[in-house]
Amino acid sequence: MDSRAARRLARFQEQADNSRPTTTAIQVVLLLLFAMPSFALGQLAALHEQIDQSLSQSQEWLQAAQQPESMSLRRLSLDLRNTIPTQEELDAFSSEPAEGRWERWIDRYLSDPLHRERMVDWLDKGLMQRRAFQNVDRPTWIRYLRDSVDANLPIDQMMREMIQSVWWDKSQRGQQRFYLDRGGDSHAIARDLGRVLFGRDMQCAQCHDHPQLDDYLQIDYHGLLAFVSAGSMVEGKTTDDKGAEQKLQMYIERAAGDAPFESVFNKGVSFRTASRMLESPEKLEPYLAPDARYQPTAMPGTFAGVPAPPVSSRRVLLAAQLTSENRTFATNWANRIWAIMFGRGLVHPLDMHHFDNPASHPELLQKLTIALIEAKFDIKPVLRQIARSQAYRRGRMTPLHQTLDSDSVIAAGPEMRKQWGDHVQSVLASHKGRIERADGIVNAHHSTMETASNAWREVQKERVTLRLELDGAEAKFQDAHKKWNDAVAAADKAKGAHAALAQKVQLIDEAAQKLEQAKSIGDDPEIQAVVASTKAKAEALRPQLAPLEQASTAAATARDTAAQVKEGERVNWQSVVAKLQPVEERLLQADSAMVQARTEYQTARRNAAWLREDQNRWERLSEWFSISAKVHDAESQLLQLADIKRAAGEKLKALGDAMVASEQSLAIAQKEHTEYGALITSKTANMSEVISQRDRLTSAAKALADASGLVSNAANVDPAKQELEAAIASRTTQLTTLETELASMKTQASALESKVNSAAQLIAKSKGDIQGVHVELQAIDTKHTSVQMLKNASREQCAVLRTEVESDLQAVGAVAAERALSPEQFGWSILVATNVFAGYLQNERNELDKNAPLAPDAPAEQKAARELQVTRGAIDKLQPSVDNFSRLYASGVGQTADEFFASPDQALYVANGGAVHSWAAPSGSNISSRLVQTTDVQQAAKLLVWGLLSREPQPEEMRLISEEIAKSGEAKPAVVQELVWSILAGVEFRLYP
Amino acid sequence: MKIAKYACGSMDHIVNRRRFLSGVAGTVASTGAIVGGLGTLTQGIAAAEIQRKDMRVVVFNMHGGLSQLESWDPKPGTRTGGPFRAIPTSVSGIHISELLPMTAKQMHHLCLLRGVNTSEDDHGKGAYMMLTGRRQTPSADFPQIGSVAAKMLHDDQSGLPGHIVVTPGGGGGRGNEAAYLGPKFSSISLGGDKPPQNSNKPDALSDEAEKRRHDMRRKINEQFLNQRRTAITDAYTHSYEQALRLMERREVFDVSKEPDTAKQRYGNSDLGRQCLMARRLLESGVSFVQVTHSNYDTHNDNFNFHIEQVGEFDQAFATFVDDLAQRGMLEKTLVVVLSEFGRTPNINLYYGRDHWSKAWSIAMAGAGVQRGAAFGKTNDEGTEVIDGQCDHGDIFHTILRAVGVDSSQSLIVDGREVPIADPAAEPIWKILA
Repeated sequence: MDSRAARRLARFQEQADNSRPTTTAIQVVLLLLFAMPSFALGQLAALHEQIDQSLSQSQEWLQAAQQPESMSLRRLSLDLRNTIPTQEELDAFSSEPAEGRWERWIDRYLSDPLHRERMVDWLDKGLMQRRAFQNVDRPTWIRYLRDSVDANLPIDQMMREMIQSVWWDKSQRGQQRFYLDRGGDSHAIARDLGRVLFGRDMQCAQCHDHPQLDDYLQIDYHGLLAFVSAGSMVEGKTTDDKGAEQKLQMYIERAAGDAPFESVFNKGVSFRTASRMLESPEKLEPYLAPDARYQPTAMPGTFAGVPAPPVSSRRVLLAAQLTSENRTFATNWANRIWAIMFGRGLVHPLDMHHFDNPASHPELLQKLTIALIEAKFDIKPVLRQIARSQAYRRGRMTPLHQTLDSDSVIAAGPEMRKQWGDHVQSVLASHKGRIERADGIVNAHHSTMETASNAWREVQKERVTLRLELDGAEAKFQDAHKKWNDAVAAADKAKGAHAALAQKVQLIDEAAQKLEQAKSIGDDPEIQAVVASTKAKAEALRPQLAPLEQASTAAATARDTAAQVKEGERVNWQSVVAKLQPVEERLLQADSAMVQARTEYQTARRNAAWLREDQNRWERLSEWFSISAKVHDAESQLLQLADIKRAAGEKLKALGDAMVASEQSLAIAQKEHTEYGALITSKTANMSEVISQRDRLTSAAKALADASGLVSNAANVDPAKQELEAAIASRTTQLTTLETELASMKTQASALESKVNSAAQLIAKSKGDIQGVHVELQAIDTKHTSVQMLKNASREQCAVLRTEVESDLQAVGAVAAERALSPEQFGWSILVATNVFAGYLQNERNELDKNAPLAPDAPAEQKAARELQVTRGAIDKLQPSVDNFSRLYASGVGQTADEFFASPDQALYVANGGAVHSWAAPSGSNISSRLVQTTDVQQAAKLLVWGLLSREPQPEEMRLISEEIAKSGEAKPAVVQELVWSILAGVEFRLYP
Repeated sequence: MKIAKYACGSMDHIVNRRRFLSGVAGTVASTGAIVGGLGTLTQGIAAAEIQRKDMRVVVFNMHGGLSQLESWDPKPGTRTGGPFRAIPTSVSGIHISELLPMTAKQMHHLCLLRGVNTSEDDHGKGAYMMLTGRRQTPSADFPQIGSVAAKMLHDDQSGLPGHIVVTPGGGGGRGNEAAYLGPKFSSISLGGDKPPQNSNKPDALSDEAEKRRHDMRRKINEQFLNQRRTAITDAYTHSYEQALRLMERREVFDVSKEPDTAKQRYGNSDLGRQCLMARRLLESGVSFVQVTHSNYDTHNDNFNFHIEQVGEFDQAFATFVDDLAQRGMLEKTLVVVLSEFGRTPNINLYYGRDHWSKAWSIAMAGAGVQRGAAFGKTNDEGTEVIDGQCDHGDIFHTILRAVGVDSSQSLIVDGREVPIADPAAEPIWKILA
């Protein structure tokens, strides 16, 4: 490194050091999640280690797991070559010894022709945001980008060349496209210069200081605009390749003044600025007299009628400042290069560098910037270093990732949660203090900045007044200049008129003299007549000479007067300039003070914002944990409730059993009771019969007794009487027995009745008990439902928080960012996966070998050049197919980044557009045809997943795919085609691994 | 504040979550009843959203610049009035051009805006202003009304695109009107009565094979989604299901399914068929349809031309409005008839009228807009607005308001807040019912 560069670097590092957040304090805070070690200068070679230091976490479960290396290769291939690896590459990669393999493949891909095309694509999208080709055609543009990439043009140099490219040189049409295909609109150009060069989209600052982002000021925008505001589109004539006339728009530059502007919020207060670069004061240029601002002649070029360029070009001025010393410029590119590999910037979105959107790892961004400067803006070594880091190979899965599902966090138990809770609380508490202090610093810097700004505004006022005066002086000068120009022309004209006539007269005089001589030859009347008429002609003209001479003299005088007036105006203009210069020198001082104060303020704001953002990350983490605790509590409550419910269920069962028993005994008692009732009834009836018999016998006996008194034949009566008495006596005995029996039966019956009653009571009680348990169960169910709902609600919150924590982890690089393939990556990957691309490569190769065979012992560079040519030929032929994907999958024209979105017309294209399905058909040696030929279905399944998704199939996939193939029979080619299609159309193929 | 970032997994979640948390947490704390909490949540946000999703917009873009004097704001018998009479309409006191006899009978559904002043006489710029509600600036691009409507109103589940442009000739591709809302909300353009591109399975595939490959796709996806399921993966897999649903619903685009009587009522013209298509689309759940009628740029022979062109429009449009009203769809559908500008009151040497944006008219019908009204007034010769002046910005706000969208809200685009309609303008409250 030469000494100048070393000095620049040292200065830069000093700046970087000054703007670094309060490292030690933060380091403590970031112990767990977002560690930020300090860094040393001059270690491009070890950048990958520094990346890992910055992106490492000490908590094991927050650290991303490595993924299978074949998937890392897929990522590397996508990032460096815009396509997935071929199956041959995967096979070669996995058969190599692991030692040094990763590094070898990084180098292999970096030197692959496809890597150059990837960089072309990156530059194309980054510089032009998918704008239409209007004034520059696609081949010209692509050729320019390819040439730049082939020359390995450092990005700073490329930007400089692009900015200061000139319109009069047709060979610079590619460089000019940045201007030309923005229609030469200076606002559009200024906005995109802000985005591309400095990572700042300041369009809102066009009309006022940005209302929400007070980092973007109107003066910044107009200062940037001033670099290009003197540009305009002019039609130029040239010839095309075939020599035919061609009219092309040129983006020319005129001599620039300064840019007046006023805020729409503060009408009437106007400002002026010359060009100014972000974070530095206005660039004052020497005041050139109005008639000395353009080069004296147009530049020789391929265009006709090209306006001459200005002596002082703002574009050259802008280009000159795009160097390593320009911190915003270098940082922006470091961030963009990072985004190639990580899918997002350390500052994200890429065009939003401002103090409320600090880098996720401010120090890493600085390290990266220094590395880029050290590499002299050569992108490749930086890409190499990033790819070498462990962090780059991180997968999307972490132990945390798997535990992000709240169940597992619950399983981690209350102890861990408490530990975490305590830790997070202490972090939050200490953050709070830090944020307060940071805010204090912000406020202090803010007032310093306000003071400096006010001072600047005061000088601005003086300047604006003088500039208005200068505008007046300039207008007068221009007027005098124009008048002088007119007078010069008039004087020239008058002089010319006189001279012409004088010459005429002289010629006639001379002719007359010659004719006089002819007269001596003889007295020829015809000649005499001619002599006379010639002399007469001369004499007729001679009097006109004097007035013309007078007019000429007068015009010359007028011209000299005009020149004097003009010079007078020049003196006047110069005197205003002389008045203006010291004011502008003071302005410059005030400006420098303001810029410095502002830089300090910005740094303070950025630090505070970073702390806040970090605080938010912690809060989200803590919120997630506390909500997961809720889920846990709900879950244990649910378990308790389940126990209670089970107990109640058992009780219910016991009660039910008891009741069944009671019911049975009741039934028996009731039955017995009924039977006894019947018995008693029959006994009672029996007894009544006996009583009535006895009564009848008694009355018969009485009648007999009465009769015996009447009849004396007692002897005849006695036997009957005795018989009757005996019968009565027997009936009485019978009755006594019956009575006894009945009495006992009644006793028994009443016993049975009480038994029935008691059984009924028992049943009633059981019913009550059961009812009670049911009520209890209902209460449990209600409780269960409400706890369940609480759990579900908390679970949903958990899921949302999980997404947020996950995106935090992605933002801080703890896991790979979730990203979809770009439209181009998607298109090329499908073409590579189906071997269509390989086929095109082979065709190109054959074609070239046929026309210009390459000797087998040709030098390596020649072979490489041939491969490059082959690759580009194939790419150019397949580009229309990939354009179909761009049309459907890309964000619109002018959008700064391709955001993922999914729409049915994309799916319709992949499903029914014909192309994708037909590419999946078995053909040649493509994956489908190899699958058809593979007889082992397991092997086929493996091949399919490996070839298309760069990984081994999982058991379930293996089963699924091999079953499909196994049962396909005759339809195997068709089924294979459908299988390949279904993976290409599947979600995994659309995403980064 | 709505989030415009169409990328999934972005700030949508943050906002939804905040809403969610505040909804639930608030209620739990106050009543302790989670049921109430969820109920309130659903009613508070979702219900309003669902209701809004029912609303639709249809824009008739009278390409080239419809003459207000030969349509909504006739000035018969004046220097500028031209040869045509004004006729009474179904609303007493409102007269429109005799070229619109059938539309006159539908006047009770319509609301005329006769005081439009947009001060832009360039076709491209005028069209941009009317469709985006803003003036074109080099450094910023804004989405068209169709994209905004699709974003705010469309229900993804319908299986149909939210933003469709029906033109007689074109068809097929996706437009580029969505600006920062993202291509998801760009228009799908339909040529006359043909269905969208690629909405038919490849001929070579049997029904069985078609089913099989999608089944396989689902099964293979399922394996992946078991391990890695995010908003992005959901959106992606969903887009395929949407595509299949659209294929199933291809008949929506088949105007030949309409009975002959309907075709006759709409008139045997491209516009008639377009209107019929528009009605079918709106019925099937498409949120925004733009019908283009071309071309009204009548620098020559303005009157003959308008007889023919407006006549075709009259039948198709009047039938369309009547149909919507009969089917009860007008309550939920806002119909707008606009151009990039009107035409000069002055009649030029070629019996033509030139570009005129200082005082012209547009018409609306349905949704939240007053019925049977004429708002705004021009002077006797139609050269100046004398009452109820409005411009493109106001109209844009009004369209959104009329279908229940708060036009004062902002979307977040790349971290910047972008108001969905020009904050310097506001809805024309007087015509919003």
